[in-house]
Formats: sequence, C-alpha cells, structure tokens
Amino acid sequence: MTGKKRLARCRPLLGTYVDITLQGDFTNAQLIELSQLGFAAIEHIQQLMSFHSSKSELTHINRYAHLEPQLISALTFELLQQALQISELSQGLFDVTVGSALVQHRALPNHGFYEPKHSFGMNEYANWQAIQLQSDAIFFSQPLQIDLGGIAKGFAVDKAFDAIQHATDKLTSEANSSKTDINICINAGGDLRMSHWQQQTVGIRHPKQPQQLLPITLKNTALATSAGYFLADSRLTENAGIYSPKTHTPVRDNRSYSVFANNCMLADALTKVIALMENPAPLLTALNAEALII
Amino acid sequence: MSLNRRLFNKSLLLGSTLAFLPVRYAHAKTYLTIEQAQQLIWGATALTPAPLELSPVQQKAIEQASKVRVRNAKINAWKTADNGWFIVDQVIGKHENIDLAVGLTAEGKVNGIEIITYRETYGFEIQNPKWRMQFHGKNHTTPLKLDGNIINISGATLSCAHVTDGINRLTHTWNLVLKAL
Repeated sequence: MTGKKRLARCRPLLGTYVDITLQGDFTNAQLIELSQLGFAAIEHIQQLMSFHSSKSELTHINRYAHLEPQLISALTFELLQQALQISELSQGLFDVTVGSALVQHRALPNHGFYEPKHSFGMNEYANWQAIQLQSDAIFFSQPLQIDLGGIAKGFAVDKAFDAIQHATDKLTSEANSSKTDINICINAGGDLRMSHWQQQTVGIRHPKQPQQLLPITLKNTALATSAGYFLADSRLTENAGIYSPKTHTPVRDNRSYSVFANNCMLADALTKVIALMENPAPLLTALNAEALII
Repeated sequence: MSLNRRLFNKSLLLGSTLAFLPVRYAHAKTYLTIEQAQQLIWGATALTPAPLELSPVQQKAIEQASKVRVRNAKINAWKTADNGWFIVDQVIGKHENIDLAVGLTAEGKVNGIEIITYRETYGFEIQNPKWRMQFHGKNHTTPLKLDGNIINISGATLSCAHVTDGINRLTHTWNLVLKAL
C-alpha cells in the first residue's frame, strides 16, 4: 500500500487557469502520469478548437466550410453535434454561430477573412441551422463564424476527466488489484468537474464582489458559471460574459449564471441558455440539470 | 490655495495611502514546490542554480522586444548541462499574483509551464470596512474559510493573459540574454 497521495497542478490553458487535482492510492509517478494525460487532452482540444489561433481546425472551418464541405476531427464533430442538439432544445438561445457577432463586437479577433457587417441588424447573421454535419465533414450553407467559447471549456474538462478515469481503470486492471478509487477534480477557470462531488462545497463568486465566495454544496458532478465581471480588463473592446444569438447583443445584467449537470460541457452551454431563456425550468428538468442565478 | 495646488495635494494623499496599504490575498493556492516543478519539467535531468541579474540596458531591450514590462531584474534560474533552463518567475495581473515555473530548451522553446502559487489580490478593497462587513452576517451554517473549506471556485472565466505575457517576456529574455550564456 502506498497510501493516499495527492497531486495538484495548474497550467495556463484555454485562455484561463486549468487546475487538475488528483488523490488516491497511487505512486507520485502514477499521479503525474495521470495528470499529464488530463492536460494533454485539454491541450489537444485547445489546438483544434481555439478561435484565437489562426492555425486551429476551427479557424480552418470558419474560413472554408461555406465554400465546400471540410473534413473534421472526430472530437470537433462530436462537440458540434452536441452543440447543435442544445441549440435545437433551446430554440436557438444557445448558438455557436455567435462568433460572427463577437468579431463584430471586437470580443474575438478577426483573422482577416471575415468581412464585418455594417450594422448589427438581426437578420444579417446566419444561425446554427446553417451548419450541416455529414459523417465526418462540415458544411455551412452560408458564411458564418463558429465560436466554441461557450462550450469547449466544459467539453475539454470532460475529456480530461474521461482520460484520467480510463487510464486509472487500466492501471488498476494491469496491477491485478481490485479497482482503486481515484479522486479527480478539474477546474478550468470556473468550469469544474469532480468525481467525488457528494457533500463537497465550492465557492461561487459574488458577481458584484468577485473576491467574495458564496459557499454552495455541489448538486452534481459538474458545475459551470458564466458572468461578465472579469472582462473589463480584456484587450478586446466590447465585452460581456454572455451574448444573445437572437439580438446579437451582449447581456449586461451583472448577474452570475451557474448550472449543475452530469457533464461539464452541458453545464457550460446551459449557463448561456438560462441567462437568456424566460422560463428555463422545463429544459433544465429535461436535461437533469439545476441552475443558480446570483 | 489654487485649484491646481489642491488637486496636487489630493493626488499625493491618495498615492501615499495606496503605497502603505498591505496587499491581502482573498484566495491563495499553492500547487507545487520548486523541486516538484523542476521534476515535472525536467524529469531526472540535473539542474544547477544559475541566478542572474539583468542590466538596465538588457531590461530595456527585453521590454522593447516583448512589449512587456520587466518588473524584476533578478532572474531565478537553473541550468541543465545541455543549456536548458528552468526559471521561477512572478506575474502580477489585475486580479492575480502568480509564481510560475517555465522550462526553456537549448533552442529557447518553452518545454513546460507550471503554476507554483496562485494568489488573488485585492489590495485596498479588503481594507474598506463596508466591503469587509459583507463577510460577516451571512447566514451560512459553515463558516467561510477562504483557504480552508473552499478550494474550488466557480465563476466568470479569469483570463490568463498576464501569464502569457510573462512567458513572452521570458522567451525574449532567453533570446537576448540567456542564449549567449
């Protein structure tokens, strides 16, 4: 028996600080190896899906997918498929095509191939229905800009979590031991997932005093929060935590929107939906999620 | 007293007040020791301490090349036998104050970044009695211990742009100074 060991690491990824904390009956070297797998999964998603990088798969799609179908990776396909499902369930209140408006508002960089519109008119933008996924390819029926900023962080947390869980199971089966438990906690700038979440307390920042933490007992394995209070110092001008894909304008209500769900991708995406939907309760119930608005 | 003089006095007072207020941390988390960070970035490769101090000319050149301010002339550096580097640096953002470890290969490529300590800084807000009052009288059964009970925080995403700037400053430091050592 090695006894319960703990490893906490934090690295700058996905534009924020990503914290992976592991605890269990493993050697230090094993915990390091497991944490490396988690960070590698997140780095891989960052390379594929960064809007800011001119070399990401996402930027390639945004540049060419309206001209002809583009082959895409299984991971990007999987995330887009889920994003489109959430768009459908939320009647378009969650919409990854909000990228065009975000470039227009200068909340995202313009890579030079996107022509900004002259006005912010509601009918000038394409929406999620212009995205077509076919087996391993993507096509846009009109020019548009996908931004996965509202969902990819949660997705990355889930993939890192799965990678660590899977490798742990493999380690224990190879060692021929009974399944060893590992305590996993991943927090990507407020989008977090915990394996042993029951009775765990987390702090949710007060939107008016972000340094103040409100203690909340976790209600599911994943928790994500969206709000605008940290964006004032961003380099890009127009900022808000949440944009409305219907009106193409930022939501500026000084509130904080948190969602508990059984995966972090869903929690992340639903924070935007509850900020915009008049009565989100039925949707939350249908998706087995809970919300907290401060 | 002229208006100008009064404004001058006022700004002087404000400046001196800020200078004497201690910086307090609303939340802090230590991740790794320096030895652990060394092991994560360089594995079993031996590291020799190689601290150095930048000259004012070097500082200026790094600032011009990286467009990032050099706050500290002293560099906490270690070196491998093959000219690889391990540097412990500090980055001060608007909300955070971070100690980080960066590995640079003999070619000046970043081969690892680990946050050693993360602290949230709220210099003078915490001194304001009105603000402090909000910590008290909250009707929670568990007392709010910032560094004890709560180790995980959910909230709006905090940008790591200052760390990115800090790494940019270090790669330029390598190019202008460390490469030749």
